[in-house]
Amino acid sequence: MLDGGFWRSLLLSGLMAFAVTALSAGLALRLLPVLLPWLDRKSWRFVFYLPLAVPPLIAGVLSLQWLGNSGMLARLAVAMGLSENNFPVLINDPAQIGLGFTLFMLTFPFTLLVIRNHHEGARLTQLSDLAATLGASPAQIRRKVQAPILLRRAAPTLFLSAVFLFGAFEAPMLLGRQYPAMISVYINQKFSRFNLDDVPLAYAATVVYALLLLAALAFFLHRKKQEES
Amino acid sequence: MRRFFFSSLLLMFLLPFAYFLAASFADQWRFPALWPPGWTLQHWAALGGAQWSQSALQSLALAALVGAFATALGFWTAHGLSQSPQARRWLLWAYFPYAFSPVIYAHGLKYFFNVAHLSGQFWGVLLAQLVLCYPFAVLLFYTHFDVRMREMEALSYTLGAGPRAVWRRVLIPVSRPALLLCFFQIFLISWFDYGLSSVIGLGQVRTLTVAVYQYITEANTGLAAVSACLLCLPPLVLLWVNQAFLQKNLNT
Repeated sequence: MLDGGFWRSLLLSGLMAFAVTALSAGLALRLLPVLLPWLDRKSWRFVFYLPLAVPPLIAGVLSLQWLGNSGMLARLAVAMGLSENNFPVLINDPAQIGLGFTLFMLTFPFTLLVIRNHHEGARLTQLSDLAATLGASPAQIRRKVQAPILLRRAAPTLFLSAVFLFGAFEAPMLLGRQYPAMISVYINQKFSRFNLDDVPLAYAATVVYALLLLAALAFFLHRKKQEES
Repeated sequence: MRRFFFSSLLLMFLLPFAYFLAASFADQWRFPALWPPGWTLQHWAALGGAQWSQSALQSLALAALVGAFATALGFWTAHGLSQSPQARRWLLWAYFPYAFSPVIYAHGLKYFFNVAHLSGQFWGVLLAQLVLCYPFAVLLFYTHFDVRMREMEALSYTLGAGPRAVWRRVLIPVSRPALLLCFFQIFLISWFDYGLSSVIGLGQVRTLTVAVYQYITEANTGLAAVSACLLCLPPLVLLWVNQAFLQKNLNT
């Protein structure tokens, strides 16, 4: 009953959630030592919380206004003497670049703050100093000491973040392609169409989505329980 | 190099607020103009209209009521759940609506809301958001009711307090920062919600998020920017309150 569109949507959502979470975590780990002086200062820390005040719908609208063919970046390109026809398509594009970038911008500040909190809790400064005393280079300290500890501690939050991204709706609705669409957009399309044959398909897709989510949550709680015991 | 990274991030983080503020005052800001040709107050002046007041009030009332109900219910449920040996099993189900895409959840609920004549009604959207936010509140409070809290409660009973006195004089006062934090978080979930409000509200419950989407589909950038500014304002205020007062209280 479920057509190819459903499985492609599921695959796209999974890949997008994984790619955005991995990129956010990777960049947050890389930038943390650089940004730590500002993150530790109470007067500047507020700045890193600012993106959390932007709803996903507004983030989608902002990307539409900046990355679209008549958006601010296209205007900047024209002002620099480039032809507007040469401006790349970044909204509803086949590679979903605009959507990926928007989801990344929604996730990255949160990931950075989570990793920073774990950095504080894990006493990484002392461990890094110890590794340096034993002869490790800064790159080795980052790769073999800081990254594994921080990723392990932040794994539950990153996992839940990926689950949210998997079901993201507002930004994909505004910036993503209609086919293949992210899973929430796909199911919403099937529920909202006038063709009544699509409604059972929408329910079937919802059941598969719910089962996948349930399995992911059961796995998450099982791992959490294992780590606690 | 450090300063360059920080300045770039700062620029990107401040960009949404600066852009929407500029767009809300811009007059006829069309392609390929890099800067608005003129400034106007007409988009903000439209705020006095009945439709706007209704949208802003509906969003505010929904967020405040859902926040209050979910916080109270979640607090009470988590207290009971913390004493249950089956708590972990129940928690799995509490994570479920929390992780589920709100728009798909809304489509799943829609039939029941249609039958109960709650679709397209303010109270229908409120109930739907409550269904989504209540488990979230339970999850937040479940970790709050730790061994220390349970021992404090047991000590109060030992000293002769009744159940009512324990709630009024021990549990609620001790949990005040956590209650406020939960209220703020749920307020924001409700304030940011688009999926549930659009599906259950059928476009008749015109919250600010629904209004933004409507203005974008009408290509009315000025009014969409005003709605975006209004949507970002309460989270910014709550963020400041959280940073200035709550974090301090939670840390002490």
